[in-house]
Amino acid sequence: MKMSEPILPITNEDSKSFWEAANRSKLLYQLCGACAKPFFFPRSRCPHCHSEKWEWRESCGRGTVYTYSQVCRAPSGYFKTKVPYIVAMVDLEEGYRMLAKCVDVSLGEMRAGLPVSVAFERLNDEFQLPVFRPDR
Amino acid sequence: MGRAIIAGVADTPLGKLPGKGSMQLHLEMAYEAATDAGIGLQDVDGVITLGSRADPYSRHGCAFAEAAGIIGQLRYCDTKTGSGSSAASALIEATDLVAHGRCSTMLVVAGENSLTGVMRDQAVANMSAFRHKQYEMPYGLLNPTGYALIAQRYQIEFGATDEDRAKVAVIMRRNAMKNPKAQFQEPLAIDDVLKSPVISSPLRKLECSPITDGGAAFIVTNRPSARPAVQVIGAGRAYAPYDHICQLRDLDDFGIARATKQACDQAGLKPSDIDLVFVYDCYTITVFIQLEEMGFCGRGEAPKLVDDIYHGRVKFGFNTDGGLLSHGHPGPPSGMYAIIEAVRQLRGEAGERQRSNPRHAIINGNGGILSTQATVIIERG
Repeated sequence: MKMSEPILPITNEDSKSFWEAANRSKLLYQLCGACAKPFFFPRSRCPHCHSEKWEWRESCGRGTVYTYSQVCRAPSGYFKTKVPYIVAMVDLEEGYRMLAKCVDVSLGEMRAGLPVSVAFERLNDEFQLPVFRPDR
Repeated sequence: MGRAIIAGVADTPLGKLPGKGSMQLHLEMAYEAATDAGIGLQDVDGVITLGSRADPYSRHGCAFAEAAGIIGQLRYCDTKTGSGSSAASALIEATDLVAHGRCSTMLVVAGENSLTGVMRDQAVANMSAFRHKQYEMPYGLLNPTGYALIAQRYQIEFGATDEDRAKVAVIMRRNAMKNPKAQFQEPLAIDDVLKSPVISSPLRKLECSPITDGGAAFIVTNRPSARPAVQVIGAGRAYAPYDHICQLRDLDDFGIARATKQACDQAGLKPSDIDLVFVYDCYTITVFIQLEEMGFCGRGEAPKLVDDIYHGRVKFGFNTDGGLLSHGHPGPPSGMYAIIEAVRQLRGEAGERQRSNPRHAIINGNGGILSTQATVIIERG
């Protein structure tokens, strides 16, 4: 891995559908058919009841900010030209939480409960990264 | 249950130890701790190491024991990988092994040249690579970012300020100024912390523990000792409902309360009975969470308690060595220093920072991003 290249997700059976959908600008999550609870990140059994009777659902992509941080020092070479950037944990309307970058927003505008919607940032031909943008 | 006392301790000065490899630090500390216990390495029949990022052997404990020339005499040899909880967890395990008669003398040893053995950028990149490979790393999270997300949420829920957290760094520095082995001994003011650059908001540079070289070891044995006998009288381990920070739910259960309850119940003590309190202050925010979950104050009340500590209005000694923030944070060995300092305080060997006749110390080690917990209570018999 070159320091100047983005860190790409390593896909496997658990995550292939998620990343393929993200590449088509769709945000997927898993919903358990046994206990009816949503979960994220993707995995082969429900973390709540351990059932394997789950299915993929498409998220509406709308949510609110739970917490956030502006990263000011780059963790590795690729990010040196990107800092500062904001990452946040977002509570999606379907009842699950995920971590992602927030774009088109300043640190001063960030707050808990800020309504945001998913967008996608292209990394290469194969991968788009889900990110969130505040609703205006 | 048989007797198991912490009979010997050893630690290097923290800071730059140029030229010393991780394994050399292990061996020096092992020898010193055995000497402090009045024994030789030939008496050790069990070893626990805490791993090394510089020397990432898959059987790290055995690699150390081979280098030390003691591998053939061991009845137990393994490595703990719970990050900040691993030293306290190793103390629990060493005590259990000796008390149950599976070993007679356990050596717990760690050493890492994080500062001079690894390039700084590489050290930062190494720590960032602990994040989830698919759902965290592509977003560029620093190690501090996980703690920053908790710190920001803490501000949102409880109205805590940057100054509240800065006091933690100043408390540690004051203690470190009395510790000749500490990496940072220059005076530090709240304003210095608030003026240091933001690393991952709201956390600033002086709220993040430094990258350090250092080694440490202790001996747990059933042998008689000429020194005051210090031993574990209560212990617990617990885990937050997540390991990766992207799975964080709420701020109400990091597992510390559960680990501490096990330890207090075993010891028959409550927080107010404790003379010395040690928390794993890898970042300022962890101190708030640990003080609350260990039962020294209620949820959201840590800023007030930290203010009391800052103004000397508490009875207990608190991270008297200077903590990770100012004593130093070499990585795998870091959890060792609270144990070693507690033993020295209980023995009355803490020099200028000696507290008046302490009897009980409580130590919480937390690893991951506040996700793996080990709490021990140790007593001078």
